[in-house]
Amino acid sequence: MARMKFICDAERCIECNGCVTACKAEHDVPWGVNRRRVVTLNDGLPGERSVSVACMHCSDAPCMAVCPVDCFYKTDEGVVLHDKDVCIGCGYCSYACPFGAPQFPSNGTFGLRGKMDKCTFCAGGPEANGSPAEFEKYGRNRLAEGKLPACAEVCSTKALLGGDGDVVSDIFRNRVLVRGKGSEVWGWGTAYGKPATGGSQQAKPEGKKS
Amino acid sequence: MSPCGRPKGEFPLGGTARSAKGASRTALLVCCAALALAACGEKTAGAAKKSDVPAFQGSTGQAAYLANGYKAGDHTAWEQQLRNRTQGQNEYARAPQRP
Repeated sequence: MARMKFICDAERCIECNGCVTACKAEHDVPWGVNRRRVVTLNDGLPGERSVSVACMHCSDAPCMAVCPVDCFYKTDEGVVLHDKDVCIGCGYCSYACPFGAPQFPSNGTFGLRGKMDKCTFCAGGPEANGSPAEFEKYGRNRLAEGKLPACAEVCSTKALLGGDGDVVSDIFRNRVLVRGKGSEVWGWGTAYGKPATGGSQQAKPEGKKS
Repeated sequence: MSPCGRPKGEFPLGGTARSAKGASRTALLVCCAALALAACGEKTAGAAKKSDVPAFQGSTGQAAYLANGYKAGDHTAWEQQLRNRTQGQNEYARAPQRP
């Protein structure tokens, strides 16, 4: 299996925040913490685009690199997780992450910064899979239940895709080729071209570009 | 020669002042090194990172939450289950073909 990945199709995202709500509800995420959020560019202007953003489970995760207590680890499927019992809430990961994924509960009496919280790709944490302790700290472990992340599965327009990176990129590649828009962007061939079948040559749409 | 009749720097027990000074310097260095390196073997006071159980081994939670038809424990079956589930996000596979 390839690495687990998310991708958000900005052509499809309608900023409904269904993914955000599903994540909050599924994991009982406290107030002030948003593991996933929808970012809108050019809001209210022609060309407005929205993208659902969470932890991207980087291959070379900067949060892992900067953590002074080494609380992060990566599963065999490439999901970046952390141990809240080791986390000291220093916030280095928050500064290192280019996506703003690490979140810190700040509703303490003095605005205390608690243990870091972030998207787990619905894979829980180091506690026993599906245990109350795991749910309390990290939320549901849907991967252990044979399911995919709630945010991606609930997405009404299927803008947000999540799962095995190979399958997800195949779905997205096919979608872009069918609608004939998107493969003209820089880096398309590198990201979605299939080397076995001729790389970017194969991934050129025939439809009219807009 | 010293005023007491023995060569300068020589001690009655056979050693020299220089070797005694060297030994004490070595001992001092060893002590300093032991003191300096003592922290290297120190265990962190905080909790050690726990090892995680792979997701394919299943959940200890309620069986009602398991995906339909999914049986935990087999890595290949788990991968196939997730691949099938991912295809559920592919509307081109779900919807009938365009005429």
